[in-house]
Amino acid sequence: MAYDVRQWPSTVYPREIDRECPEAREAIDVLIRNLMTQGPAPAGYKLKTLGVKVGGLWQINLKVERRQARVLYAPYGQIIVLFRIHRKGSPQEQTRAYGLAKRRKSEYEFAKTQAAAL
Amino acid sequence: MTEIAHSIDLNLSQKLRDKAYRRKFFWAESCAQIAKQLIELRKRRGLNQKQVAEMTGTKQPAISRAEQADYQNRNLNTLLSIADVLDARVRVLIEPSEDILREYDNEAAADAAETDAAEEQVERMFAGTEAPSYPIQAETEILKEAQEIGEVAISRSSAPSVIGARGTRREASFQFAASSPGKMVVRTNPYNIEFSQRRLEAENVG
Repeated sequence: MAYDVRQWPSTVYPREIDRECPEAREAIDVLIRNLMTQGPAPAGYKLKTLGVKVGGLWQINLKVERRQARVLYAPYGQIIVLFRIHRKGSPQEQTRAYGLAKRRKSEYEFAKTQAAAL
Repeated sequence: MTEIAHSIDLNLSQKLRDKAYRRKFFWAESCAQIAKQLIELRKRRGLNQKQVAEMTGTKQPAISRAEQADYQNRNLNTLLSIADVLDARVRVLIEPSEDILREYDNEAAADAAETDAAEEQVERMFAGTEAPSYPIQAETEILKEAQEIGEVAISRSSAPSVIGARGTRREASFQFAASSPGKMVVRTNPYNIEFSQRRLEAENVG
């Protein structure tokens, strides 16, 4: 596979799918495989790069069985890190999800910088 | 540099044994593949969705939907008419699940074998029974240098532990403690073997 898809923290996959959008499990597995082969912008997916306010996260929405699942991630060269997978809900829930993903992204980048400095 | 994010194990060769799972997986996979092919073909013809819609006598949103990876209600006539106006043929390939399962099993076995080989190579290298070879060679210089400095006693502090379960993203990590402030971490994965040196610079060691 051309890209290495990973997660931060280790509880994103498959726990968040099982907890929040089990109906999208198969579609998300297909998406992850497509991220591995095609990179961070796989063809045919509804992709949105979120602004600086949301930490520069990338978002893919998947509609499965009339419900929407959302995958928040960020590419780092050949590595793609998933930060949050959740079901699209109310605006308040979405804001919380963005906040969590943004925090996880900052934590990951901080830990990465620390590891590189050591 | 060692990647700190956690690997993801899709474990497809196991999951696909479940009929309900593979039914939905194949469906989603087919939809995503059709969408990708339609987009590639349209772009190859230098057309936009509106132009294709006009050529097929539909509206642009219908073409947009057909090009969505998660759209699951395509009909064959729409596909045939899009292929027709884009001067292409539609070829349908129906594959029995047992053939696909075999493919995924082979893929998983190949990944696992590659990982095992990498792990064994590192094991042999540290046991002193094998001279390191590329891609480890350049990185092993760090280890050699550390030993030459003399003040760094490198000893194995933990057994290799497998973090992930499946071949493609499986990793084994080996940790070496040093008597100085230094610490060396070695990670292996099926694609490359990376060494990272933690504060093993001469001033810290000295």
